[in-house]
Amino acid sequence: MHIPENYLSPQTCAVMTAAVAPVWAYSIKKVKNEIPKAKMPLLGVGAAFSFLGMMFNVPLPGGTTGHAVGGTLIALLLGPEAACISVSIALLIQALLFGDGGILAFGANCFNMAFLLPFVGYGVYKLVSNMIKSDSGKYIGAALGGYAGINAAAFMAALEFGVQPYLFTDAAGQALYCPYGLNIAIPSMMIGHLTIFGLAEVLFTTVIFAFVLKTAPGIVKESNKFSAKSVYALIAVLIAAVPLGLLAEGTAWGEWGADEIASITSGGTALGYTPAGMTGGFELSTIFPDYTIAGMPDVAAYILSAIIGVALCIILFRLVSSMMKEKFDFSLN
Amino acid sequence: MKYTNSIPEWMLESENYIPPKDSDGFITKTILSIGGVLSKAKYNGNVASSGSVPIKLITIFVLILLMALSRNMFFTYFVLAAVLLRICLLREKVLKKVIGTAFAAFCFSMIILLPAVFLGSPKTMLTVSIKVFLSVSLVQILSVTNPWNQITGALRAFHIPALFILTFDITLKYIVLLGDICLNMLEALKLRSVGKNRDKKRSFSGILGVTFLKSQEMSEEMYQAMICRGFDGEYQIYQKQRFQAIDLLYLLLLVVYIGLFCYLEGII
Repeated sequence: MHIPENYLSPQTCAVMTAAVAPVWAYSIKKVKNEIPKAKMPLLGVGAAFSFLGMMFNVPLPGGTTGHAVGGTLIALLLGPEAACISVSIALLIQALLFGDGGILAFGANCFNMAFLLPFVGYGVYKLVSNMIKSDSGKYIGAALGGYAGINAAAFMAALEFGVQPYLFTDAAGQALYCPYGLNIAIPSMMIGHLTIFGLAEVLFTTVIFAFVLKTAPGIVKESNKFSAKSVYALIAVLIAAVPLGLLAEGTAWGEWGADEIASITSGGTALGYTPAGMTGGFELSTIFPDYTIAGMPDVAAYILSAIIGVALCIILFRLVSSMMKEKFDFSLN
Repeated sequence: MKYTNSIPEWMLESENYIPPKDSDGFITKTILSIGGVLSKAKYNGNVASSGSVPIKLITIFVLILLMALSRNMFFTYFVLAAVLLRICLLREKVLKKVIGTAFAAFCFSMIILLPAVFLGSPKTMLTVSIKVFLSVSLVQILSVTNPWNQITGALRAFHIPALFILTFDITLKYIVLLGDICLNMLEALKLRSVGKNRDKKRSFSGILGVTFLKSQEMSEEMYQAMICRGFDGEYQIYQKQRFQAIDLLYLLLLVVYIGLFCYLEGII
């Protein structure tokens, strides 16, 4: 679910960050009202918990395992606004220190996993637990909430992926970012999340929520002020507005790009052809398909490839030599 | 009671107990992923950085942004050259970590984008994967060569409030503290589950549950400790560093690469 760098265009990333910013502002304001300023840093502990939750592998029927994001669980335990901040901090630390998820794509990842997931999950939980007023109502609510939350997030991610090839292509019509259109991105994201990952999230949310409810019933945060309606309205507006924003941004980009494309193609159509080595294994030449690019002297290209080649050799050599050192000889001779 | 020197018969019999196999892959995998995080955090505890972290952070951010914006691959190859050279200079232990993570991300990206080759975008697989490799490498180099609290502290340069920086630091600290608690419980569960254990999955759910309860307790204790030490919600970061030669190098790199980007993309 963590969108890496370069799968979304910087423009999309900017739109998504702009979309998630008001949610952050709302969440911080809401949390500040409920928690005194001095207690704010304690959200860090919640963020650490949410970070660790993402590390857990959930056992699934058939012996397989799956990862859960756990956003709904955090929302059930701490409230959706605190969950939004906690998951955002966990995502930032993953992007900045662990290379998990892109830095530019941070806004998009937060929109999907720190906003949509916990808010949709919590909204569904509230709806169901209000309808069935018993403990089992809470568990059913948690399960359905987890399922709805992860799938809402996955669907949004699929939309973000899916609009890329329509908006951003290079001179030869090759996709610059995610190459899969909506017709591929939506099914391939949703099939996994409607089945395995959805199930992992449901198990993760329900089982741990049930454990905490049973062991320490007083600790779970019951926010009565939460109005599901306003959140639904917010989500509906954002879901409708964000793709529109993306499209609007895209046309502007396309218009700007038209002149640029001409200048790039005038020197050669290097970006358009299939690298010959693609089907028959890798050669260094395959990652340098465009040696002769407009305005770039051959000498520079050769120097550049020499630097890359030499650096690669040194890295390879050092990796091999470090592996050799680790072998200990335990024989008596 | 009469003592004899002989060993009882049953002790001489060779035991051949093979516990029935049970699936505990989820425990092992979780132990490995949490252990991985903890070992990275532990390693980072001894790292001392040279040069200003905000300048490095900005350089990396700009490089990643320009790479994402670039429409021809030449700029990316220039970044590749710089990144590989920097990796060459890393210490061996760190070098393996950076290359390992970045290469894994590269391979994953190649697999994800493989179908695109047959769907009319053959070049995308390589271009995007190389950019993914570089972005992950850049972040990894920053992460292994600088103390984490300085990296989060450097976010001040992006006007993030000090209270958030404090929260990031607490998160980092508690990932290690809570991770340790998780790890101990997971190992205990693994050691106690010899052969078939039907309660294994149920106990597994308790681990994160207990960690959550523990985290609530710990945060209450930390709050009390902070109050005792006079914390009133204001937090100031004192990070005054002198400008070093290495900072100049990074700034120079930044300027050169912005210039290169403009030249290669035909803006100049």
